[in-house]
Amino acid sequence: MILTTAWTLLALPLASAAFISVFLRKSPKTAGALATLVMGLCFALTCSLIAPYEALKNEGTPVLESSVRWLTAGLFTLNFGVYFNGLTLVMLLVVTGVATLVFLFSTAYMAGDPGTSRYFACLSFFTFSMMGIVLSPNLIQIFIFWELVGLSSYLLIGFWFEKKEACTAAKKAFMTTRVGDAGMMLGLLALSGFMAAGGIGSFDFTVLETALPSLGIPELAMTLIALGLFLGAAGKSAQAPLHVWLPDAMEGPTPVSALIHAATMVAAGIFLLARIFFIFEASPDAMTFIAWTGGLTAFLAALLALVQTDIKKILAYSTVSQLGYMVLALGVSDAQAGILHLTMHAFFKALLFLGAGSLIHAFHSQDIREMGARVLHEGRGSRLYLFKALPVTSLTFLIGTVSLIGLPPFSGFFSKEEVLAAAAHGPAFLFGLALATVLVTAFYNGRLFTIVFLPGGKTSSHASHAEHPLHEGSPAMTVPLILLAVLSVFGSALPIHAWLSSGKEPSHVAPHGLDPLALISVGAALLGFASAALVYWKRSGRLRDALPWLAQPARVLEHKYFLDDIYDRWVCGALEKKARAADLLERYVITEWTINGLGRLARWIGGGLRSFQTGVVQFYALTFLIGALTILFFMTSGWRF
Amino acid sequence: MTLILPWISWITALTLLGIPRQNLRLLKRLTASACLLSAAAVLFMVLNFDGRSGAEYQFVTRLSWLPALGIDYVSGVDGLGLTFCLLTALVSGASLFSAFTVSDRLKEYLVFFLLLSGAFYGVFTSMNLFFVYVFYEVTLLAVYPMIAVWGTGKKEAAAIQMAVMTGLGAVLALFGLFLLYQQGGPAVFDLEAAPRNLLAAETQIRLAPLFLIAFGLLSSLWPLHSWAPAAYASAPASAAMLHAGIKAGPYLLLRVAAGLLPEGMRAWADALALAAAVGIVYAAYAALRQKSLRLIFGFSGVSHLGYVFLGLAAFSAPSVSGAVFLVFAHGILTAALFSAAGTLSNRTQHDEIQAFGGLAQSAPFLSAALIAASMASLGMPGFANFASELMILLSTWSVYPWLTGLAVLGILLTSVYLLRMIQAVCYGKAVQAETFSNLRLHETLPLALLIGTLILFGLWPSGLLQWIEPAIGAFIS
Repeated sequence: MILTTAWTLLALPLASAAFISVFLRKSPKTAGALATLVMGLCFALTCSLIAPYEALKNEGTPVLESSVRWLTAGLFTLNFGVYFNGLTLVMLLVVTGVATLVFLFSTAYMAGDPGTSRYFACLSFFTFSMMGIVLSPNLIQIFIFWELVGLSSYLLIGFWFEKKEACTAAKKAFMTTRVGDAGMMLGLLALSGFMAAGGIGSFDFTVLETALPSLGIPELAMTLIALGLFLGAAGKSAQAPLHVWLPDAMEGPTPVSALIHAATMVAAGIFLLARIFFIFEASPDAMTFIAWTGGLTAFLAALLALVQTDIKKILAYSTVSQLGYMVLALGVSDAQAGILHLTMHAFFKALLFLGAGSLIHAFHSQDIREMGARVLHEGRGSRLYLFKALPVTSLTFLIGTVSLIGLPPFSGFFSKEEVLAAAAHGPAFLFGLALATVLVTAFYNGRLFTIVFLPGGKTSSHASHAEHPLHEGSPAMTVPLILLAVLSVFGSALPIHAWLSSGKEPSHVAPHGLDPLALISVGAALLGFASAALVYWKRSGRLRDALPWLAQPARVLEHKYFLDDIYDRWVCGALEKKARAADLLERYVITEWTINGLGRLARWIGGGLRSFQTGVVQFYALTFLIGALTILFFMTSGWRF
Repeated sequence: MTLILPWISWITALTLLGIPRQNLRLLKRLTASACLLSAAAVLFMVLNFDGRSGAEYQFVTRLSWLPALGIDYVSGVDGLGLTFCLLTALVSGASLFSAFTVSDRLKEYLVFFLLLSGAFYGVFTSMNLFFVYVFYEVTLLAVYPMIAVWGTGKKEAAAIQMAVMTGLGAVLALFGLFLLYQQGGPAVFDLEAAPRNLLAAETQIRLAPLFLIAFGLLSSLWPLHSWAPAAYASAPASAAMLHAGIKAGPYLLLRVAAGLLPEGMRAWADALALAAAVGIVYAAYAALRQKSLRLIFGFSGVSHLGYVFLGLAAFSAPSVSGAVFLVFAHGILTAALFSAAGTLSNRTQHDEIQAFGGLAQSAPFLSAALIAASMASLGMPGFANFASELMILLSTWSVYPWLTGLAVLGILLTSVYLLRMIQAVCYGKAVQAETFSNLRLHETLPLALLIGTLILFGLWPSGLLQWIEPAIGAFIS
């Protein structure tokens, strides 16, 4: 039963995408309704799996699998199928749940856009691909859907393809994640080499997990394999230094950012790490590398969020930073904490992005300073004006913010505590970095919230473009916000750990609300938020005007650690140079030698036949003549080679 | 059945000569029916082919031809030949539509068109190496005027370059065939019997490089490739589709080098693998610098053939099967790309990627097809190209890990130049939007057919592999 439903879950969004792109290209409203209904159905089906799965688990069979043969390459049999265990269930709930709300939100947000049908087709295709990753029983199938997810992300970032920035961002996202994918492919190939030597012909997780210890892979090779696979995860989950694509990806429509570039696709890397955790566990060095990558990403990306003025970019860097937390948790061997944070993050980050969408919808701007100025202007100095004008958006945004900075009893608090508790077992420096990230996170959120929702100071005169006063969007926009807010508050009540734990082993011990670690982190969060509120209470200006010594570090942050410039100069530049070299070689050496050389040869031999216009006919005639003569000669002479 | 396959086209070509050139409708109808009839014959073969004995030649007809030299005209197909016949049927069917857009001297063009597609059928259905060679020679003779007369740009230079290099390849091959004949007598030309009576290993090793160079020239193996991008950039769309899409070079290499000289092939495999891997990366870099759509596709073709040669060089049953699968997939893909490029340059009278723009808006179907084909080319799963490349990579890794690694990086470069092309051509503000209003069925149908085929065999690779694998298994143990 579960497996049939799983196959259905895979088929439904694909069918919806196909149907929309063939029949509903001219009817955007129907397309949106259909896509949303299908997603809702998928969510309902996923929920219907909870009870049977728990029953099965009590019987002691927590893993189900069904697959068909797709391709055979010598020893290797590549299957296509579905695989169901606790991790699958959690991920399915997150993907279908958030997707349903985002689809609903999109029906209002995208209304009137000429490409709406294309939008829903692509978004449905994305959910299909994402389900493919989640349900995949083997590594090759994960890679396949990994690429398809990349394709749908490419199409959706570049959704407004008339805009040059959108196209460039789409290309950058595709290329950067593909660098990761190439690493993943190399890791897969290296693994396949050892599998071939050991006579293992299947990439199924269940097979690999039991066979891996017996393959006798040397430690260095194991580390390289794990790092190759991690590179794939780092690309999709935007870990430094491959994170550069995610902030640019905000060129896509905002609901896309919520679903793909915050809640689900970027979490695929975390999911991959958790799914093949046994491979990473086999290499302690790789685990250390992963933990450091996660910790550094969390901290460095949070710093970058400090200087952004585009609301979506702030949230994007925030996503990178939170993904860093998840990677850190996995790197210090606590996969459950990572997945728990993935789930909670999906709720509150989707909420924040949809909230940002609602704000953008109301303000027609993404700049937090412009938003603040307009609130100030329209509210005539009333600090809480936005809470009156956009009550649902403001309150839910507040809930999302509080959950993100990790105050109890919001869901983000519990998952972040688990990550921190896990990090406490790791290197002290990493733990310190993780705690510092809490402070920085609270600060940039405090900055964002104060500037947009609690603006103060003088009203600026030039912000008088308000033809329509600010107003809330339709219920299709507010209902998803409210539901996500509910999840952000009560999400931690979901029995994620119970689902994730396999079999009868004691389930994860959740930290209590009042241990010292929690006190420290809550203190850091409050401190960060309060100091930001204090700094930005009066002026919507810049911190460095008050504290001039911040100017230099801020410059580094504004240039994003100069990473884009480095990539431009060293990677793209080198590419261009090699391309030019190949082109020159092609033009002046290879063509010159082969063609003109051969042409000269032909003319020289066929000098007597110059009356022909081109060298070709004579060349042909000549070679055939020579050929025929040679054959005759050999046939008659009896010469042996 | 197989015997008549080339003659359907050739007899029609002769008939066309007798029809007045003004009667365009009749000319087109006859050409189309020849293509359809051939395709129907191929379909009949596909349906009646006994897959369980895919290693054996089926639909065999034997005609005595030159008893003195022991050469008979024998025709038939094994799984390999059938795959290539299907490729020929699909590509010639799709290129037919753009052949009809030729406005100048259509009659003569169609004669050459039929000559070319008939010759390809001949190559793939002949079971005697001598006839394989003769039919192949005809393809070279037929495509030359198609480029030199009906081409665009520097067509004469490109055609000459092509004729000189492929001509040289053909001569070398002829010489090699003769040496084979010297060594093994008429039996060695008999493809059916050849795997059972191989030459001495030492002789094979001496002969193999000759054939590698000959067929390398014919199939644009790096560094012998330079004719291909130039020729396909100048060729009319249908000629490029046929000649670049139906890759007879790798077929010959497989039949002769792998089938008759397996020991020689093994001895020289490292050199072939090295040329293949360098070619993948080199041609991808060269493609990065091209400004013309068709030159990009031309270099892309050279680069992708590298994967085919890498698979051949690894010389195991799965790697060679993957290589044949990729020849098929890449042939279909190349035809799709040149068909799209043909439509674009037909309507805009130019070929510069920077001068296009906004195709996604002005011609959504064409743009979607171009993006789909590019995705297939850069190894997106779902298309046959990914399945075959995965097969090759998985089976070459244990033989050539470093070169396979290089090939993986080549996929990245492919993404760079194709995404750049998509951004320039499909995205941005629409340029000359009115040029693309009312796309006609003959411009969209071939693309749908070809891309549909790629998806079909991408999802269902065993559809082709059920024929390819037994045939390959027969000469690679």
